[in-house]
Amino acid sequence: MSEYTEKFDATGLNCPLPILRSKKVLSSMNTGDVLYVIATDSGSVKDFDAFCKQTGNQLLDSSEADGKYHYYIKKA
Amino acid sequence: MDLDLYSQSLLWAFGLSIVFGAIANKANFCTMGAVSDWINIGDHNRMRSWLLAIVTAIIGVGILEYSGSIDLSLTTSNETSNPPYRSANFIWLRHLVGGLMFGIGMTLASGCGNKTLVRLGEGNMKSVVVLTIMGIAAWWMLFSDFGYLVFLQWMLPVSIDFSSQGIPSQDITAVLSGLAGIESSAALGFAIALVVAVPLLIWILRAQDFRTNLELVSAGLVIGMLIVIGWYITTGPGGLELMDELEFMDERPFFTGAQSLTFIGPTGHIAQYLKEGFSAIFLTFGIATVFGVVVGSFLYTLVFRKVRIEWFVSWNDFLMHAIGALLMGIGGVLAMGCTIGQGITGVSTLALGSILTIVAIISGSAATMKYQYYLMMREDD
Repeated sequence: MSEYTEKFDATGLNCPLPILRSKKVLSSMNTGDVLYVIATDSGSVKDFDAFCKQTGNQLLDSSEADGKYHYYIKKA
Repeated sequence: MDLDLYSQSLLWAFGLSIVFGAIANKANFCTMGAVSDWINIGDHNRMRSWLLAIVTAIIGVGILEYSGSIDLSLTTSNETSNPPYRSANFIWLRHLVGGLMFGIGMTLASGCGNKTLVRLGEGNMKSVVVLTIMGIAAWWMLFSDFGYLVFLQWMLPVSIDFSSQGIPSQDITAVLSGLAGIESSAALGFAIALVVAVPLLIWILRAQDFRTNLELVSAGLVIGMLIVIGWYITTGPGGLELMDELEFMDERPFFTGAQSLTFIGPTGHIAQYLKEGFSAIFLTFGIATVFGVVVGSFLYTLVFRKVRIEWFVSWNDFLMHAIGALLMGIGGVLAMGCTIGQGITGVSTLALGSILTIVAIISGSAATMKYQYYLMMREDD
């Protein structure tokens, strides 16, 4: 994945901040836009999975590379 | 070997906590995370896992108490319990204020005491700072007059002393039977444990999403059972024998007696252990649990994940964690336990103070998350 509308770098932030800040960024985006989140909190994998399931946003991709977690979320 | 039984209890605490740390790491078992999922996402699965641990502990303790395998009457006195969950003197304000402080603190510090230890095992260096500040704050509360002067001296006068009504304990069974004028019994205690646990269990298992999540279900069950085993070690036959043995020791170790897993007071024990130059009498059951969780989490990380060294991203990040740690250290000791120490270990005794503490912790945490989000939405980008 490489195309996204907005990027949010949550490197170094721990729960609940990556989710809270992503929620804020998403709230200003339009339906269909893609948010790219970078995080280092190992708990963020399950957090973003649950977040997307509950909110209806689509988790297009979730991966780990270079010691960081990468999420692409399409706003519903 | 004077300390033989005592050493065994420390080894049990260490072993149980290694399992705890590994499971908490694997399942991302975290009370603050459970509250966050619920408040910020609307997902209840981690909350159900935590409640399953509570229900397992309540039923397990209920069975052991009913069968006479453990003696939880020890938990009514400071002399025989650490802490005295079922004390007849219900200092309700300490649980309310301490619980709220702890709930706010754990949200600012990215997790409760237990989560801090799990993160430390993953290589998160923020946890070293949180653990240090939390330990010093807990030490103030446990080993100085700070707790009494700042909190207890105005909380004690409004406490409810059940012993004045002839009620020997603050657990639900004793209070209800005392108020109803009927005799409390082990059978009644077990029946009340089931009345509390079964509706919770039904709610927990209602969600198919949760029922099919083997990781969260097994985490809840195993953590609940670890707490029960902890109770059996300190209040079962071996624990009672140890307490008899301790009576005759010249140098009695500190913080012995009835207890199971808890994490805030023990961080204060570590500070005292260091201050006393690693004196063996200050090596407590609680210290063994703290180190056990770190080791368990570290071993899990070593085998299944990568050790990830993390540090603060900004001064604000540092400040929030430092304030959170301070609130957890003070609030955790004031409330006589954390999300595990009161939330599972304490609640398994059905003590009113434990139940009030956990409600206060969740309320404090949820309110802090709401406020954090409110502030974020008002920030300029």
